[in-house]
Amino acid sequence: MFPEGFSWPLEKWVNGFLDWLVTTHGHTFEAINWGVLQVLIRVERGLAALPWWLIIAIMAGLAWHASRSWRLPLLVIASFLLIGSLGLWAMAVQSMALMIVAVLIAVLIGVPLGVLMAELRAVELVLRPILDLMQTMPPFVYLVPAVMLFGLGKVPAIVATVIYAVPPLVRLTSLGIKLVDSEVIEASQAFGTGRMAQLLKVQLPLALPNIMAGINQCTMMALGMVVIASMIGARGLGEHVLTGIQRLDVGKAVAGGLAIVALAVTFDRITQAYGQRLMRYRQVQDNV
Amino acid sequence: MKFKSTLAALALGAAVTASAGSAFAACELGRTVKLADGNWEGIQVLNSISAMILKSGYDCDTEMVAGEMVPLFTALGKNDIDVFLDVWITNNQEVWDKTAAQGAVVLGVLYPDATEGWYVPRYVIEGDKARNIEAKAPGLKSVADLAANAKVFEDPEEPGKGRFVNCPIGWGCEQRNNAKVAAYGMADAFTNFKPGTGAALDSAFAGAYKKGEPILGYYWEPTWLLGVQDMVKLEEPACTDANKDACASPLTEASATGSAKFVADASQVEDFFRNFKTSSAQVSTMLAYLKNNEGSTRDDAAKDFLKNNEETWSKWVTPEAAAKIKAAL
Repeated sequence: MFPEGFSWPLEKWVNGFLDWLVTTHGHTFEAINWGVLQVLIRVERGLAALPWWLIIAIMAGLAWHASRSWRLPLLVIASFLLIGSLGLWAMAVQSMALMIVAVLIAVLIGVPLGVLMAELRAVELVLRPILDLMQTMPPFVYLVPAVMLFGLGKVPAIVATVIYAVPPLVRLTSLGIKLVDSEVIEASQAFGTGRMAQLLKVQLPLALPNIMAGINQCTMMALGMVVIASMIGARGLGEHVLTGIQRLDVGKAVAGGLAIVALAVTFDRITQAYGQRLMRYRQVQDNV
Repeated sequence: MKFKSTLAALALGAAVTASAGSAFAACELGRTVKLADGNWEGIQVLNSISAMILKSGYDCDTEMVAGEMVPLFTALGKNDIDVFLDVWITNNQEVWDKTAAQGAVVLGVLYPDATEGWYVPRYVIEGDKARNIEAKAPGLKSVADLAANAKVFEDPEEPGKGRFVNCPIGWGCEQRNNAKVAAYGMADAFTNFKPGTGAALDSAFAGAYKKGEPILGYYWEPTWLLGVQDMVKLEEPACTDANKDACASPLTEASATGSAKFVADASQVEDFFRNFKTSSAQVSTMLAYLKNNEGSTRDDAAKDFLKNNEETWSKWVTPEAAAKIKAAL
């Protein structure tokens, strides 16, 4: 047995801190909730207002733009037709809206953090253990307190999704910036490029394939979170799966699960195709 | 014949221990009293209270027999356990009938008012001056008033509608509540929000209460949550033959039950369990004590109850026992 005297009251501190946060700053979180919700509701209503064939057409168009081949658009069309034919269109749109908003927030937070992490050693030292924590902490641990802070529904789900999905984006962005050839940077400095211009016009463009890979990872993790988020009342495909599981209606759960897979495959292939295209550009540039 | 003589020897033995017991002011049963110790907190605190009363009031040692619900019933039927508290007979009718057929009996109603319903924090109706919260729905008394007060419980995800926090999907109460939402004329004014898990339901209530925000949702008692938070249960229409679904859920009795052997052996101790009468609110308070006091044990909660509720428990025991218990505290 571990000696009992060797203990520290972590549980008490965490509970006390959460209590303090909810009691004294509850309204701040309500305000954040409101703000994120306005964005989410608009995205959701916007997507819901589009006719189904237009959404498929846009996604197929994106797929073609990313891959410049006819195979990916066909896969995308098939995936969306599968979702629609399972009667899960409206739920898939809700889940997509949740994922899009979560990924947007993750990009807004993750890319700048990744840049800072690559540039400043101190930031990396602090950030690395935090990213490890975010990636390995079981999501339910922060999902339930998120409900206390933000109330039930989609915003705590988005917050939890961002926590869960942002680490790979930060890491890959940082990696991408670090991998930029030092000779290229020296060359740009030789031409008198300023610090900001060097970042925006040299480093970030060259790091784009890695950032795209980060966005791809981020998107996949956000979709994976859809089911977990339904445990705090986020509606969408996850709710369908959860209903199936909790009523022991396996068919329902499988249908919901398949729809999530179809969404995941679509977004995975499209973001990957964009990443590969960027990579090809870079190779062309390198060869020149 | 042999069987009869064994019985006689047993009876003699029992008589000897009984007389020895009275001589040394020991437990009237001449053995430890075995309590069924289920895996929920309610029964555990009630058992701890019983153990303390039996020890200091009647000099009886107790043993907690831990187990799952059905094995505990089996043990009660086979006289391996003496007393099983906090039994919700109506929810376990089938297994109880089998146990009763083996001679187990209901000693009394432990608390008559376990229930479920739709709750709102008291400050929503009455306000709370100490916390500077104004009453947002002063006229709210019954579910019939909800449609008019939908704005108070606004669903941020669907502005203009109220939010009713239902049970998680898959719980029996979810379907009952669905029927009620329709029958109470709330289908258009409220979203029927399913929180996904019990933990999410709890933290929705806990978060809203700490912030002083209005919330309307399903809950049940006795539970720690209703011991910690001052909530008001909304009135619902009474059930009739024509309307069996969308109406107030009946109060459920939690009983104290004893084995055939216990009833045969005990007298004063049996009387204690027959008089053991508390309420759902008191049990909620016991559970809230556990929740509020980190690291506290069931025994701490039991002691807290005995210290603060003398007028309640002194009615359960003989005056001599009451004096002894008070001295021990």
